[in-house]
Amino acid sequence: MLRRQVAQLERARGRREDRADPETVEELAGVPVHDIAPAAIRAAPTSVFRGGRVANAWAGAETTALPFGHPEVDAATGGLKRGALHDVSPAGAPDMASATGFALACAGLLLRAAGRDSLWLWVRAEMAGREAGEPYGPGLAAFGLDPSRLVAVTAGDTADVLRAAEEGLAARAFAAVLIEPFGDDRRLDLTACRRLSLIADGGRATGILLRTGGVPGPTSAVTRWRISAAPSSGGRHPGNPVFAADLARNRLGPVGAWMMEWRPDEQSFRAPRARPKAEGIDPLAVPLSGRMAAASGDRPSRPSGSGAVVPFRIG
Amino acid sequence: MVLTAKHRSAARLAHVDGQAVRLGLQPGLGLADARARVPGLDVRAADPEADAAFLDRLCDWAQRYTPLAGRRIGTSSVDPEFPYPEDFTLVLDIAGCAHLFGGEEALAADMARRLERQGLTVAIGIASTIGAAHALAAFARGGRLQAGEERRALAGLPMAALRLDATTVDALARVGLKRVGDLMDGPRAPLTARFGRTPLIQLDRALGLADEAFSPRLPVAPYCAERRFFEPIARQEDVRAVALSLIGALAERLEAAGEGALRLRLSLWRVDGALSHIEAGLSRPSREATVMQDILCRRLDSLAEDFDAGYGFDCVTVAVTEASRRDAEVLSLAGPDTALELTRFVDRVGARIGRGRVRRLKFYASHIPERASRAVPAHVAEEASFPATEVLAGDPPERPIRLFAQPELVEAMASVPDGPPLRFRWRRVTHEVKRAEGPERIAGEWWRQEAPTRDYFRVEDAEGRRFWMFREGLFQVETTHPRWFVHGLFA
Repeated sequence: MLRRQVAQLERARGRREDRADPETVEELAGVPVHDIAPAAIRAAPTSVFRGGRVANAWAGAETTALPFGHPEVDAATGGLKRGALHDVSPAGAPDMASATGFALACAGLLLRAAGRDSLWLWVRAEMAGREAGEPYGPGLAAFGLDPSRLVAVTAGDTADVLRAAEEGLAARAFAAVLIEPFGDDRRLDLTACRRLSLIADGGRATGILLRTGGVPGPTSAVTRWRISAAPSSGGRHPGNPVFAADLARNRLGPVGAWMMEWRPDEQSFRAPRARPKAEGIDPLAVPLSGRMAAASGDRPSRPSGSGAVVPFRIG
Repeated sequence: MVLTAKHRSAARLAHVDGQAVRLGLQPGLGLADARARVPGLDVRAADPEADAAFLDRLCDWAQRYTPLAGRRIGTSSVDPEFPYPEDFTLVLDIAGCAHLFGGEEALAADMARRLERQGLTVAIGIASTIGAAHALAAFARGGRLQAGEERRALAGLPMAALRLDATTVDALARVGLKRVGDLMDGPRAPLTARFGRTPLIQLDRALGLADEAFSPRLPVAPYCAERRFFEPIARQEDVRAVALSLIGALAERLEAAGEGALRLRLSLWRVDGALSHIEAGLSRPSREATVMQDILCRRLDSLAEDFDAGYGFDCVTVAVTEASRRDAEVLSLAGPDTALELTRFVDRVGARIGRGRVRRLKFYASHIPERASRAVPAHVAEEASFPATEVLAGDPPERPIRLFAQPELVEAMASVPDGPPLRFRWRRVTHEVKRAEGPERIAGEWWRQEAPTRDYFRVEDAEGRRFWMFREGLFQVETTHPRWFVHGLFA
């Protein structure tokens, strides 16, 4: 089945070989998205990894890879390759927020590198918004991403998600395109994935396929990450997000698993610091991160010494 | 066959067909009386909404003759409490259009032929004034009047032909004024004093001595191109090819006028009389044929599943329904123009999956979390609405990256009065809280509506998953049983 699809794709590309290759991005702009599969790709893009930079043989230009900021990850992967498709999925259903966080962090890296006026796109299925929550502006700002540069597309089904994502990758407006279908949909097969990869290849945008709540299917992405949540590196309060990132597949280098901490203030990853000893919370003395003032509107602030623990039930 | 409607809890005849008229039935008669007179009567209930909708469709269909097509306006000639029979009149302004069909008579004949083929009974009156045309159509079985013939033609018609209400017609009849001609030569002042101004105003309008306004049902498109076919076309590719060439013609006219299109409408007239509109919008005025074609084609493609050509289309028009001034483009040498690229993206995706689905986040100055950020359609959103925030080193995010539209209720163990949760159960999974920070107390906006205070906590469970939770209501101040919710997820 899979093989037949790949064969079809190859044949389709062979037919298009007699078309004049679009030489510049300018020429590509008018071509319907599904026609952007230059014949050159078949022979060419054996991207060569050269210490932090990846040379793209097809474009003739060097596509830089962005360093994650985490020394071990950078040494192993050479950084996040631009103009490519990356695959991010949660290790389990409850890790969807962490997977989202990792994908957003990658978008953050791309945006920081792309400059001030570049936009980012988040295409998501309606179900994803309902199950995992809608993008929240103030939260994105606190995460180090500019919400006013976000274009958010809500699509009814996977077909529309893919359609909008292809348009987004082909448009020259976006530095990062987050693609979030929901559920295990057979329309998100290898063919669909390869189309996304081909459009992303050599383009301006980098695609990040975020499979919230879906079983990871076949992929043609350059890298595939499986993300699970990890305790944050703050003291007794939740600190900067930490991800247990498992690079399950890497077409450009070795795989591995690392703990990565995202630093919103620097828009960069780093290795998490050794955690302080304090485990668990003391309900009687809740420490603050320094940003938050003690809130006691109705009575004087006190280090509440006499609280009883009670259950709150639904209903 | 008759149609009935309720009037003061009694069924009355609303519409009667030709045979019923011959049997002596008329609108307004009680149903019981009618049944007594004609035992085998076919009685159905009238459906005014369906009638109105049908008339609207017919009015749109009539746009194949002129862009100025509207429903009948002006005073009703019937009792307002029992508004039957309704007026099924369409008004078409065919000035300047008739020669395209070979003259006014030819136009009327063509229209009558097409409508009769659909099973409708029509009477077409053509005259220089709406009043005269209406009187001809409704009381003289149609016909055509040259300018200046109104006086002679109307004189013999009954008074109701002036579109007067029933009481006025009755009052005029009681003093012996039964024909329109009776009003024409009578003294005006006493008539006005006794019957109000309406009869004479209506008379003047019908004779062209007073103006009468008329508004078409759909606004007239500033630019429009159409093509008619002797043999109807049915294939989608043909329709597309025609639409593309029509857009090409429109683009030239827009270019000449220095304007750009904001909204396009493709109208397809099916041979059997059905009319369908396909609309597409652009977020910035454009007159490039390729851009307009692209958007309209995408819209056509998205409708491909329910594209019903029936026996084919015999008339295709493309109209620019909204246009605005647009100056020549300045070509940028500094690389791709992000704003232009963005509008293109918004139009393309909007045409395919719906315009309202492409959105941008807008900031609102509100402490209520769900109110602070809202998604608005990208084609109406202004630029950069979020205040620039600087994230300081060592600051963990205070707000979640994803927020649930509806906070989700959870079962929780927490210390009173305002401690963080120790354990909670969300989506059938129990989470042990290892770290927490809070409360961040957010009171309801009392000037909008009373809402309980929320105490927000950022919590992290044993696996490292981070949640944004709140307790609704202050313990023993606002409520004895505060409820706990998960409102958002941190990375």
